[in-house]
Amino acid sequence: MKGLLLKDYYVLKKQLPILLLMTTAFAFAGNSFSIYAIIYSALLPVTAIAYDERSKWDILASSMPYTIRQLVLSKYVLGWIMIIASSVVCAAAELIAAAVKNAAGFKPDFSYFSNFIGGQYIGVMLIALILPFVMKAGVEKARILYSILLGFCAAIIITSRFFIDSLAQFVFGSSNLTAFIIISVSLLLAVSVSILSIKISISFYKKKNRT
Amino acid sequence: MSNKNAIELKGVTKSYKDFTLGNINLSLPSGSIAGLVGENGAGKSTIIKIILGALQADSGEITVLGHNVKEKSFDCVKKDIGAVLDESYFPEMITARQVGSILKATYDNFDEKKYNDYLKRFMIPENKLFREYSRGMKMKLGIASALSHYPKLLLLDEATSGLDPLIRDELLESFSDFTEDENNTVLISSHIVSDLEKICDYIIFLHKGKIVFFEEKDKLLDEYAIIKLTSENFEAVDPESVIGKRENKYYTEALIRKDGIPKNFKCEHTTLEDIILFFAKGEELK
Repeated sequence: MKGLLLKDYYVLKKQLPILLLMTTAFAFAGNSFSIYAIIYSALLPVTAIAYDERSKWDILASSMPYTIRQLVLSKYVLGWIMIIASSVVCAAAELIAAAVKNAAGFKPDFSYFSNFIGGQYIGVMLIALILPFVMKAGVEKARILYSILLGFCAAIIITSRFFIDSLAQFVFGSSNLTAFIIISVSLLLAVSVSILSIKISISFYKKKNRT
Repeated sequence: MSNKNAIELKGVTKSYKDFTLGNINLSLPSGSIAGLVGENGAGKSTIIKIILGALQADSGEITVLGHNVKEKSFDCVKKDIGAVLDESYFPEMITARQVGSILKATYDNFDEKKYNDYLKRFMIPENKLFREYSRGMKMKLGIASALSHYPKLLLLDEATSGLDPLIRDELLESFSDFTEDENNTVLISSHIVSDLEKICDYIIFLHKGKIVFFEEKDKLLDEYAIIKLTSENFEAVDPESVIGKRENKYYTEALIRKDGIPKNFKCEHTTLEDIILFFAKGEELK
């Protein structure tokens, strides 16, 4: 799978400075905006698939020693790596922003962490929801669907910033057991949805590219 | 399973809404070069994709390098396959140098030096984006990529189409070099019959989704000939030996089996292209 990830890295290389710029701009705009940068990075696998489709890469890839599972899984892994990378960049950018703004009293609080965790969570879920449709219909046809999903996510984020903060306060302010249960259920949900999504994507990929 | 054959297809079928690839039987010996020829839409690319496992056949058995393509182990066999496919390339945002890095991470037996030598030999710029390449350059990079991990089977789908004669000749030479090792096999599909005539041991003629013939090239050239006769003289020819013919008001030109040529009748110079064209005409008349 290393070769597949390397290929996607080369394909997306030119997009990375944009991501960096966006992350920095958001960091200076305020902590809660970082979530958009994380979500943008979660969608980079879709861009990589668009390039693959344009060059009919999948047919060439079928001549290489990769299983369908590896071909599909590599896009999920790419998304997850991008989420982690953008979170790290966001955190660094925000620390720099705080220093530049001379915010001597800057202390990462619940809100700070909840934004990152919320962004990562939404990113993972978005990957899991979008990729099966992209695998089935292709980027162009799935564009409408994922535009709706993105709009939906943006609306949730905008209207529920308070909700995310409150949830974070609630989770971390609750008893250890309640917090543990909530975090565990959330993680389990993300893992289950991702596993199910990967299985569906493999099946769609097989049907679309091998029949 | 015998490894004497690099490719074996038994009763392979594949149906689409408006096209059927019908009952394909094929045994291609290891160490040979076979040319797959046929009109647009005859099913050449479909066969190559089926051999690669990139398409699932509706029925039949496909064995490549001794392994059934339906087996899970076939994904590992692919390290011994090199493919250059028509209009299927590396993504346009990457360079030849980056392709080398991707292949190095993909194939255990990738030879970076060999790949770089091919880039030099084919004069492929290392740092130019793939989207800026001409078709010739794209194909040459495809061939460099396909040959640099020591494959045993090379599958080429229209790899020489649309290229100028000089580049084609250069590529054909590299395919011939490849089969200097008697374990290496090439299956090449092309419209350019003269290219196939230069390098192939076997010719597979596919017409409307069916194999019309799969024969040794030399045997085809030995066995068939073109004759050009007046209509009266043509009546002396055994109709059973006529494969295909075309008539005008002055003469009849026909491809016939040499054993059916009446004595004292002179044969015309016959090329592989003539044989294929007349076979196609014969099929049309059936």
